[in-house]
Parts: sequence; C-alpha cells; structure tokens
Amino acid sequence: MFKRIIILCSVFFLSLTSVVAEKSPEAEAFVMDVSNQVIEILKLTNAQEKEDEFRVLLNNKANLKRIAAFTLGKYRRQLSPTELQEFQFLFETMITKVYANRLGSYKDQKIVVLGSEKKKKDYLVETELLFNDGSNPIVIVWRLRQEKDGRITLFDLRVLGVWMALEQRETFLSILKNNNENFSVLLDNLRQQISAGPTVTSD
Amino acid sequence: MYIDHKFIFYIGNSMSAKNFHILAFIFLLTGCTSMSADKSDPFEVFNRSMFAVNQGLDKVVLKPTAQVYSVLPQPIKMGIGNVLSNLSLPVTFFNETMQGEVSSAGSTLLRLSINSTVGVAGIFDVATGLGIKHSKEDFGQTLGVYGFGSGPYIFLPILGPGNPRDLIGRAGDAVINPVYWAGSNDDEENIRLGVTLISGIHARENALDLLEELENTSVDYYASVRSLYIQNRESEIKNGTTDIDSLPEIVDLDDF
Repeated sequence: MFKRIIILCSVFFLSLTSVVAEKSPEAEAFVMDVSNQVIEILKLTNAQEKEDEFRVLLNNKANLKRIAAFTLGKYRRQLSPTELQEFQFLFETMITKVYANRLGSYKDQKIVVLGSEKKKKDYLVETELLFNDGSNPIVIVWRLRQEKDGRITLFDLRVLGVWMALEQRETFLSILKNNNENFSVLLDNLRQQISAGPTVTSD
Repeated sequence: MYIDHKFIFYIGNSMSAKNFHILAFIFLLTGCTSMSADKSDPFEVFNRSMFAVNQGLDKVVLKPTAQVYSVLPQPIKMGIGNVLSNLSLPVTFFNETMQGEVSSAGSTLLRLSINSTVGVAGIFDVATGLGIKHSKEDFGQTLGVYGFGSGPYIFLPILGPGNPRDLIGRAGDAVINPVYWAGSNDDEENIRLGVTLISGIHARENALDLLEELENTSVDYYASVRSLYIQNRESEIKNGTTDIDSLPEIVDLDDF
C-alpha cells in the first residue's frame, strides 16, 4: 500500500515538473540547428548583414505564409488573393525587421533542450536559454509543424509565457475589430510600422 | 526575477493594502458577475482611456524616475532587487502551500531562511549560488488553480493590467506580505509607501528597454499589453506547462 502511494506521488510530481514527456528527436534537432544558426547571426557585427542573414534563416526555417494567415484568424477568408498577398508581404517585412532588431548580440548564451512532444503534425520543444552573467534562465517553447514534404518548420515561440504569433494575431484582430473590419486600416498600420520601424542596431 | 515579469511591472506593489481591499470589494460587487476565463475585453473603451491616462502618468512621472534610478551602480540595484525579492517570499511560500506545491514551498522557505540570515536581510542572494531555484506564486494564481475564472480584463491607472480575480489576489497578497505588518502605528504607512514606491521604480527600470521596444514595434500597443498580460498570467497559473491540445489550431495552406 505504502509503495503504491509512493509510486502515485512520483507520477503526480513528474507530471507537474515536465511540460512535455514524449521525445521527438527530429524536432529537437531542428531546434538546435536553428539555435546554432541564430547564435552565428548574433556574432555578426554589421547590422544590415545581421538583418539579411536573419531574413534568410526565417524564410528557410519558418513557414511565414502560414504564420501570416494565422495572425488574421477568421478574417483571412474574407480577403481577396491580392489583399492576402499584400498582407503576407507586409507581415514578412515587419516581422523580419522587428525580430532582427530584438536579436541583440552574442553574450555567450546557450540553448539546451529540456524535452519535446509530437502529436500528428504538431511538435512542441521546450528549451532553456542560459546566461553566464547570473541572469535567470528563460524557458522558450517552440511550436513546430511538419509540412507536406516532411520538412519541419517553425510556427510559433513562447517566451516568458507568451506565444509570439498569438500575440500578433490578437493585436491584428483588435485593429480590425475597432475599425469596422476595414482591412486597409490594418495594412496602413503595417506600412507605417515598417517605415517608422526600428533600425537595426549593432550592440 | 523581476526581469522575468517585466511587462507586468505595474502589478502588486503600486498601491496600499487598504486601497486594494476597497478595489477588490468594488469589483466583487460590480465587475465579477461572471468568473469565466473569457479573454474578451467588454470594458475596452474604458480600459483604453485608462491606458492612455496611465501612459501619460508613466511618461511624466514613473519613466523619468526609473531613468534616474537606472544610473545607480548595478550592485546597488541588484541588492535592492534582492531585498524586494526576499520580502515577497512569504507570499510565495503561502501560495505554494495553498496550491499543494510542497517541494517548491520547501525551497522557498529555505531560500527565505538563507537569504534573510547569511544574505544579510536579503541583500545578497546566497540561495541562488547554492542552487536553490527561485519561484514566484501569488494569490491570484492560487485562485486560478482552485478554478476561479479571471473575469473581464481591466486596465487601471498605476495598477496596470488586471482582472477581478487578480485584483482580489493582490489584496490577499498585500495582507500576507510582511511589509503589511511592519512598523508601529506611527510609521507603518510610511514603510508600506516606501516599499511600494521603490518596488514600482525598480520594476519600471527593469522594464525600460522592453516596454519601449514593445511600444515601438507594436501596431496596437494596448492590444499587445493585453495579450501579454492574459497569456503570461495563464502560463503562470499553469506553472509554464503546455497542453498541445489547448493551443489554437494550425490550418494547412490548402484551407486558405
């Protein structure tokens, strides 16, 4: 009886301590590959070069069209192919600029994989970003997707408990909701953001 | 640990316990008729106006103060952060116990004991050096664990983003906090006010770069802050765990 209680307690606490239990080696390999490439980009000192390399990486490893469509939610079905194409172009431009600027510089950060899980075509990989200056580690969860050709692509990242693409979607939907679902307002906002957007800085 | 919660810098230390209670009571009576986990924002017009007021207050008072504070030497700021962190540990311990997180509660108690003594009243974070992990729990999270829904999103000046559940949680935490019981009748308000002000300035200083970046890169800053708050709180209640089935569905490109 006592042994059974110990086993039950162990199972309970193990289930609390791990986000994902079932391993997915291919997804973990993908995450480590992307992380290593990001670290190489962080080491670059030329700001424009950094942004260019980041754009290439993002285009290779993320399905930006899918992410762009996700951020529109139900509204994507109301758009004409031309409008959707324009949105995708503006979205990709903005995302590249924003995230290239957020990359910062290499300060000996390290990424370690904590676990992974696969369900049908969806993957979750939990990683920890470690710093050598005493800062608390940051848990980053990667949401990946298997494409029809078998490739794995990045779909979303959760940093400090916040899914980036989901946050972007809620922001876009808020703009549409508050402007009588006028799609051109969202496009104008994106254009303004790109033109007034951050200039990549080397630090 | 304050850095981990940069975007909810407004929270928890910006108001006296008495005011928390009054606010919590008002929201219990008026705003909390439906305690569901609905992400909707039924008071958006009011919230956006309060957000604008808060932006003004931040621009004129809090941000400049935080910028002045930021010139202090890093070891001093780290010491202040450690003391504030140490003061919050009884709150975390209480809530971890309430949530049945026995192991974490034990670590928190150990951390509090070590940092309060060897760490000279919490100035030095000796516990982290010994491998004792830091965790943070509050009464809003405890209510969430017990199944209370968040209620509608509410933004208030100074207090920032929140909801009825978290406002009640903050009132509960304020009573548990040792600062609430500190001092004699003559100086207790001053002590509370002092800790509140320092906490607010310290947290705002930690968030200077992040909030500026967010404001500069968001097409709708209000909506971004709302999304960050709601997502972050849900994640905290679940202690960072993720259920793949609960995530929004990813549609295939053919479905467009």
